[in-house]
Amino acid sequence: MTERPGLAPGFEDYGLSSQRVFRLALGCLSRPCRALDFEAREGRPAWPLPPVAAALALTLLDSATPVWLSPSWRKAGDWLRFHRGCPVGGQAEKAAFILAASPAELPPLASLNQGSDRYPDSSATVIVASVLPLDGRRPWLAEGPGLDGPVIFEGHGLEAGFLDQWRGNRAAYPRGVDIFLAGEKHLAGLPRSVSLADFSGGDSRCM
Amino acid sequence: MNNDQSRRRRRLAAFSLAPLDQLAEGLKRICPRPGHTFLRRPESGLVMVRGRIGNTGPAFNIGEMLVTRCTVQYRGLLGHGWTPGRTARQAELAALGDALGQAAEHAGAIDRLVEKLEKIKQNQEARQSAELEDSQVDFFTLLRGEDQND
Amino acid sequence: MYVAVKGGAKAIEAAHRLMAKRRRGNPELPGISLDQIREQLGLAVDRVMAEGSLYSPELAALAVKQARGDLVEAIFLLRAARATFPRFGYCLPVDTGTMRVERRISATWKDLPGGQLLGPTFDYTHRLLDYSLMEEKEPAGRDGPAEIKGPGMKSPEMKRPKALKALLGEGLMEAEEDDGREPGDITRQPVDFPVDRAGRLQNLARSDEGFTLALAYSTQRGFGSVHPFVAELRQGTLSVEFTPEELGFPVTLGEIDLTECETVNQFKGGGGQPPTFTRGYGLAFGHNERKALAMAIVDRALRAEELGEEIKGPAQNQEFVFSHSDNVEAAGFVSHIKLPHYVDFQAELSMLRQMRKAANDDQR
Repeated sequence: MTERPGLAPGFEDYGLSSQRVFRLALGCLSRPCRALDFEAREGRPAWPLPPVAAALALTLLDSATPVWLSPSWRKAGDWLRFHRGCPVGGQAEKAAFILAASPAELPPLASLNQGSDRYPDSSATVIVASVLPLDGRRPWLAEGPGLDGPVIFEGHGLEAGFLDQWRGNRAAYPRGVDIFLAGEKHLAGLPRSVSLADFSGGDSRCM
Repeated sequence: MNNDQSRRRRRLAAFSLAPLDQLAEGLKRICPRPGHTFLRRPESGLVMVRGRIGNTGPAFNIGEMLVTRCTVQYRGLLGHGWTPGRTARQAELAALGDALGQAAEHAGAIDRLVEKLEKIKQNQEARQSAELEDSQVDFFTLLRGEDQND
Repeated sequence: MYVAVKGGAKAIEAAHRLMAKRRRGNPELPGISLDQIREQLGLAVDRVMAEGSLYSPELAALAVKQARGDLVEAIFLLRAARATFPRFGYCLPVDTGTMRVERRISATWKDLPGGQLLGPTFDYTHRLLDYSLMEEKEPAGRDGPAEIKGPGMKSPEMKRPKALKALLGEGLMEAEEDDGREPGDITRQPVDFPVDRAGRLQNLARSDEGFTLALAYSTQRGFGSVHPFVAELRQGTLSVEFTPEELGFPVTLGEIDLTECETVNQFKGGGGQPPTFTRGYGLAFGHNERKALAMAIVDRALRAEELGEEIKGPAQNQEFVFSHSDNVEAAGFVSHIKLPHYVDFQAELSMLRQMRKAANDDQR
């Protein structure tokens, strides 16, 4: 028996909440790099993951999606398995979803499932806890479908070295991973269709 | 499978197949105010039904079945319910019954309820079966010419 | 090429209102309930469940009601509803030998163990309209529930052995053995040809009945002959078991009705192997006799390559069968041409005008 008392409940109403969160996730992918408000009522304080990442995981995972959890989030494995029936604990390279407590805990993007040329949609999706932009950080320029020309993207806590990884992720397009940046009260999407470039602050393109 | 597990398996089967009113009434009699909480609210979803090629060969998928599941907590005991169709109430009651079956003070009464529900089902099956009996083919074969010489 | 055309929204709303009104019909007549559909149009519900690939008599009845009895539309509705539910997992393979049969016949053995049970069937009816049904009466006494003749009376056994057992014992029939492989799921994984038999059966289980029936018929008429005998056709109820992650042992989820058909067909052998009968298999949700029978015939036809038979009919071509058997896909693609194609057509029109002009100019 694999019974584990004391697990936290999931959504109050799975059908309604998962559909609202799914709608939000779609919005984040169709309007990339923009932090959209997450409705606080979907979350629960007892969850073992921060509410936005948790709600997204409850919405997107099921028995057919192997999940990899970064070290700080391993404790949520039982909870996710209980609610969504998803396989937990396998290798990151084989996972359909990567859940990471911070960008620093993220495996190299190139090591993740990139999908195939025929079925690029079978690649991994990353959900990473993020922070809203800090002052004084050098922003990036984002460009691609869903963006009205190049826009400034503050990176939401992604490290400077991420840019190279993202260039690599773009190189095999349409293969590649998609990323959700799950903030405290916001969700932003970084789909593989978006290109990021270094933005040397202060030049003429600023604002 | 140990004794507890087969007992549990038996009651979960009885609860999923029972008429809702009989299950509700039976549990109400055993524990009128259970005060359970939800760990997993009733949720409907799909289970892929599988068969086997020629019934003994490799497995294949036939199609999905709609089911409802629920997990409740009653005095620290976890009860799970799995019921067919969109049956939130039945899944909740099955989960509650499963939890009560683990509580020392209710276990005996739950076993008796399970027996009663099984009996209801057996009677229903016996009625169906009696109804079918007349459509059993009873061949009588005419003697063939060459057989008459034997 | 598709171009968004604006301005139709008002008309579309009105069309939907009209549809709702038509669906309801004459408001002076009582509306039809889901229970009535389930109980009195049960075979429509069963077909919608089989091809909608979702076992839920309740939702299938709702789909039939909403679709005004258009079963292909109802199947589409049920497929769409299916996509809104999470997938909990896969059940343990059902054992049709445990079925409480309501009907069980064999065309190959008169005296098969367990006997022939006709059950409710359209067979042996004269297909004459029963005008007495024009007025709905309460069921007559003899249709009422049968009496159980006292306690301890032995009711007829509802479980019956599988008919093919005897031939298998003699080694005259190819055995179906579990290779333990996890079957692919065509609703989850992209399909690449050739598809294995398990994948083909999943496709056939949800395939359009009319299409499958026509394919089966085509093999009988010579487009890839199969020469089937119905070894056994059974219909009935069995329970579905599933191992929830949190329990770690299988529990009963409920009961479903299934129809199963096993055919025996001509021989394979050679290469030192003695000849044996070959088999075709059909299994479908609900009471779907015609479908299960046709499925078994097409299953056998699709094994042509495996059994080294000449491929001479569409029913033996797995890409043809697999790609065209789904009526949701077929109806969607065929029906889409009634939606606006104004720009495509304008392009063809102007091309035609140019061609004619060029031809005219040449003549001059």
